Amino acid sequence: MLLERFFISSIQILTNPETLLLSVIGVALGIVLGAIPGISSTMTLAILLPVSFYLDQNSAMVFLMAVFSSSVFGGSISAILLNIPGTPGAIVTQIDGFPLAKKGKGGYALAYALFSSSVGGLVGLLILMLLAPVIIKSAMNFRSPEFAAAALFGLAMLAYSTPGSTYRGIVIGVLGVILGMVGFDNMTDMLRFDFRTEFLQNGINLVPLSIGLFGMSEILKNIETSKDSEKLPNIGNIFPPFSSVIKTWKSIFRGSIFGVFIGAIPAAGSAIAVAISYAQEVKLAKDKSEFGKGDIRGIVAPESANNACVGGALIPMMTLGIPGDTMTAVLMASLLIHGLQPGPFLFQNNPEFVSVVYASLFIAITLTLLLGFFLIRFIVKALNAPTTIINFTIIVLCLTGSFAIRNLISDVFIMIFFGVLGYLFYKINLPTAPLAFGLILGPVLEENLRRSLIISRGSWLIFLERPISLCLVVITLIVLLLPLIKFKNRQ
Amino acid sequence: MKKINYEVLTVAVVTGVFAVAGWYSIFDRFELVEGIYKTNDPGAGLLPLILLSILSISSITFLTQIKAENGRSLKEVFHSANLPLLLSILLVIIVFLTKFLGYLLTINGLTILWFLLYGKLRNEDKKKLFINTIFMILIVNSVVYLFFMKLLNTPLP
Repeated sequence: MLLERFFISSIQILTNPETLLLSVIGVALGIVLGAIPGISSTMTLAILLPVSFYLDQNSAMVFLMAVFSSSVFGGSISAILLNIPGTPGAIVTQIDGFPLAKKGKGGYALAYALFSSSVGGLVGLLILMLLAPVIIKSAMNFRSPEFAAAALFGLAMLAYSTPGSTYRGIVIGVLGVILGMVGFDNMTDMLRFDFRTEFLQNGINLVPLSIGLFGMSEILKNIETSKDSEKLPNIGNIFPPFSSVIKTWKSIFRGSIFGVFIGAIPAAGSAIAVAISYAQEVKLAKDKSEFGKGDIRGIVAPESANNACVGGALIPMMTLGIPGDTMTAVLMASLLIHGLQPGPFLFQNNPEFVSVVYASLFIAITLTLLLGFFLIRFIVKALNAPTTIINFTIIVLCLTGSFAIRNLISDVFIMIFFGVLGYLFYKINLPTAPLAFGLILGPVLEENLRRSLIISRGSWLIFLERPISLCLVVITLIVLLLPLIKFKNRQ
Repeated sequence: MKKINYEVLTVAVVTGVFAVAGWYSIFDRFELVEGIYKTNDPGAGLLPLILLSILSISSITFLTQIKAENGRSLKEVFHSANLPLLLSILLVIIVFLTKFLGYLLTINGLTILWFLLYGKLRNEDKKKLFINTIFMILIVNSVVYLFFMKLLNTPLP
């Protein structure tokens, strides 16, 4: 049944000129923008998000999935050619990719990265399709206490995975949940945190916040030190011998498995997955001498892990409504605006849409592989463009895009506010991702917490009386207390 | 010798400002707090109260940690922030003016102003700067305008 729907959706997307064109444009934009240093995958997705509002929900998903999946590969291009990772997930690719580029074999390195990315992406999709129904089966038994505990768990995981201090991650997560409460309360229609201004009564829209936090703030960081990068060397041949590509299958397989399962842990992120897969590859290799000097295994393992994370991160988002990383958080914002609430009931009430998500991802991965080879030489030219032009283009897109969401100037001010706030957070070492996560998970947490307390007539023990919520509460407590225990042990 | 760590101090101030604003807003609408547990529903004020308490305690905790051996000075924390700050202020002014002057005029005005300021502060080559500005106005700004206005039917001011 699932496979049948998947094939039907894939054929529908491929035979409809509009969706096919959207997919091609999304893939091309994702690869090109993702390749430009300073433009992360999350930023690419955030600045292109307003475009999706002019499309119906299925077409929007086709377009966003294309951008989402392809921008991950795009990030590796600058890592290989410039030694600057375009995305956090490409941070390890440069270790072996850049030395190869310096030897004039940048084309080979990119081809290996593209091939392993595509295989990793497909493995991630396959595991998503296989695991989602299993998780959904147990998630269908979720009631308010479980949903509240799951939202809390998601926030705790994000705080724990935040680089630097977990405590700071928690504080910013709390701030995000508070910001999510601005405006009318869904259950009582009472106004909160509106400062008696009409401006805040409709709440803070997730999209201008995302564009500001992940788009504009990144540009403000970039212009601090922006310098035009050096002209790129010749990348050489881009088609390596097929037999050598096939020889790397073990590394690709291992990387994909690490990627999908680490990506599935809420907020774990692709940076952790690629670091672990690279470390494992070095550990398992008999001849370690070439690592760091241009070993192909050092490219294919992290690249497959990086792209398998896409499918992995979609698992908690699609099944439980918890974003797996910042990219899925932005993607979730788009679904919410289209009136779709990710979670188990999405599978029950809208199975056709779920198959569109799977089919869109499959087509995006395939198109990335096909278009990637044609776009590589064009991207090399794009990477030589002056950074001042790139940065200012993004600013113009952020301004225009945030206005286009609801045709409101106030949304542009919100975007600028969060852009500046994101930049301030960067200067004082505060993480930005928990703010967006808090805003998304806050309403889920509050609504279900209150429903649970109404059911239990005010008893908080309801969260400990149900096995799944008890498990989630215990894991959340462990996650939150772990840094404290580590700190005590160090002392 | 211990000195003030301006990074932690700024964190304390930022979280403190949000906490104070939150408390002000809660007490401005006191019915939120009054409603807590009046019926079976814990009310719309319960979670805000819990979270604001956490935020306030955190802010105070940060304040207690501002003295450190290797404290970062204000200059260290906000180094190279002039250009981003300048751009942010420019953006606010430009967006405000958009209502009166329209999109095309303000966005192109911003482009010229920004590239002039950027060039001056960074001592950029004048010819290169001129070419970049013209490229931005004729190609990028026009394409973005046409894309949103004509293709997406966005009623840009």
